[in-house]
Amino acid sequence: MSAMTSSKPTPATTKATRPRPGQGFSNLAFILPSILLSFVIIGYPIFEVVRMAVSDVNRFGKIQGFEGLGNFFKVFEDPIFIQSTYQTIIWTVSVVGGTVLIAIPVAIILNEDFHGRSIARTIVLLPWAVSLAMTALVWRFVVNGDFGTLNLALTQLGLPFNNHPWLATATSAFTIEILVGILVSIPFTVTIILGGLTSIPVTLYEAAAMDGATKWQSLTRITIPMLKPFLQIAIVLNVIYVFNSFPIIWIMTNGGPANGTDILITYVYKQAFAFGKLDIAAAASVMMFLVLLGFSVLYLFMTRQLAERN
Amino acid sequence: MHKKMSSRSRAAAIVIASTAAFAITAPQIALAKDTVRVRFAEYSTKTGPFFKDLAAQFNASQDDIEVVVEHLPWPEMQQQLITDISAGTAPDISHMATRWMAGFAVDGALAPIDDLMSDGFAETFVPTFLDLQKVDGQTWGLPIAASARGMFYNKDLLAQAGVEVPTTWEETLAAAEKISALSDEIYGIGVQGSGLDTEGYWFYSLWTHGGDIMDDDGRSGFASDAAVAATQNYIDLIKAGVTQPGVLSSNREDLQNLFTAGKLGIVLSGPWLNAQLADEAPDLDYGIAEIPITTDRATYGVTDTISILADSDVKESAMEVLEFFFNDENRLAFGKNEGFVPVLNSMSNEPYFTEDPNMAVFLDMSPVAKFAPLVPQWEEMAESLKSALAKSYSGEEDPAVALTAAAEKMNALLDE
Repeated sequence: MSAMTSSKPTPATTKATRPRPGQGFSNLAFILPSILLSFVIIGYPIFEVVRMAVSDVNRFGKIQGFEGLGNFFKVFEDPIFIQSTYQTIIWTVSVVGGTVLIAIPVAIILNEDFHGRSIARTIVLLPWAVSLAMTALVWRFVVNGDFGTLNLALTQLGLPFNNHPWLATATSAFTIEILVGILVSIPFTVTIILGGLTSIPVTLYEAAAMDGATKWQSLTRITIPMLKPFLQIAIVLNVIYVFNSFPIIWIMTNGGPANGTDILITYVYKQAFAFGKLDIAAAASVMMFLVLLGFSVLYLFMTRQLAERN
Repeated sequence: MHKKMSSRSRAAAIVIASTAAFAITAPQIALAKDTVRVRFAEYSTKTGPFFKDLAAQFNASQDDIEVVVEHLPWPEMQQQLITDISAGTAPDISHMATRWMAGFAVDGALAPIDDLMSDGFAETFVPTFLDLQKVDGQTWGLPIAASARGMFYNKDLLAQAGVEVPTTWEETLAAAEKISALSDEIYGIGVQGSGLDTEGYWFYSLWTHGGDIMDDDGRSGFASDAAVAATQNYIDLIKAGVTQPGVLSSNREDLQNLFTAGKLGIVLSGPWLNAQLADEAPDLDYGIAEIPITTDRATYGVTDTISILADSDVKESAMEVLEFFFNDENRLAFGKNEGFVPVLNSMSNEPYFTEDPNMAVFLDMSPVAKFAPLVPQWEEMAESLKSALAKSYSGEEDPAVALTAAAEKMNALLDE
């Protein structure tokens, strides 16, 4: 707090005084407690996970010996891990891709001026307000073959979906989970894109209109290119969230039937809490962590680029 | 670390006890009164209060041991117990599912009770249920609850279809066909394909076809001829279209809900379904019969265990407490409270269990009850079996191929 107030002198004095020697040290001293705290709170769990990943751990979390890379080899030898990795890619690409494709037109519409716009914006943001677990539970009831409202609605439209079991095959179950994933990711993505849209100067559109550009041309030549950095950030952040998203799949299918909807995070959960193999779970977590670390670095890189451009 | 803490807390207890003793000037109160913490999982809202009552009776009856009862919902038990054991804060006695017990015992978290039990106590139990608490020749706990499974059938649907209660799988298929033909909304028999205990639903078919989970050499029996025939039995039902649609997405609750709604002719389930039916469908006319057979009579027996933890400092007192909970009178009251099959020999002739036909059938089948093996990696074996079953039921893989993969996984885990 004191550091903040002291660093808010008038512009004139900032220019006049160059940092005294030793001031760098006192600045460091001020932020040192926060840095240490971050290291302990963020670093210690990561250290523990890595330690478990290279150890032989019993189901009570007691380390019983050094295992080296053995746990990693065991993970790679497990066909279900490979299958889950593949499914994680499908899950992440489909949910993030679907979300962005739907969110762009939704955001553009919501950016227009029309009656009831604030109501429409609220409705789009609503899925954000409901807990993920609750959303998943409700959708599990909705798609239930015998008592679900989806089949009731389809049957009343005259379609042959009486008693159709949506979650009984991996393909249809995974599709439904991806759709639910898209639904809950849309609010966040629309918010980012709306922010991007407001940052595009109106003058650009006016100038284009003067030159006789059609609506479609302004969309493809102005809106989309200007949105690009925001889309990149929306994609990277969504990848980070969706890659690790547990409740939808766990609640709707538990990774079944026959591991057909397992993704890495449900794989890790089963290893740790159902099978008591904390070391294997830790090794798989370390690999997931590295992937997400890559995306986080990408995100930092992109936001810095955006800041520089502005 | 744990030793140090507990001796300190005991010292504190002695200080408090002695101050209390001094305050009320009754020095004859034993200073070293043992405190025994017991943790129960809740079968119903009655479980906690029932054991709190018993503990109060016990505490009032003597001066050496103070019993403290805690109770938790089932879904939290495993996680809480593992966390407490890791942190050294586990209770002296804990309730658990028998299938977790093997893992806990192998990892040294439990105390064997063979030398703690008083003479003749072990003989009061139905031998099958007590034998199930043994791993590597030692007893690791007592069977606190036992249940068997039976075939629930909807009497009205069977009457409408004009079929008798089936006793073999062949008759079951024929009956299910007639029941399914009644209406699009009515299904002949439920087959479970997902969720908790999916493997249990398959065991009914496995055992009644003469198969077993482990063969005589202690290797996996998942891919035996009987196992393939047992799987084919369910595939035949599915292919004939006499099961509920979407076997692969139906868990135990889904089947019970269909039966409760009167949409299912036959379902295999346990005594707890009686309670759900009494509550949600009091007018549904149903009966319970033995599980249909092909070669052998069998049912799936499941027990829960109550064990003394290895870190307990008061194991002998803990055993005394357990023997009180398991005396004839208290155990009978508990069994009636929750509707479990008798675990003590003395309970087997009680009218409560023999006269109510919906309880008696489970009792009659107790002698042919079979159990899941007590091996530490059981959960993982069951998971690979579930996958194999899902692939077989959906027709994605030939049952023999799918089951062989599950058997290989099980054998690999047995060798670990």
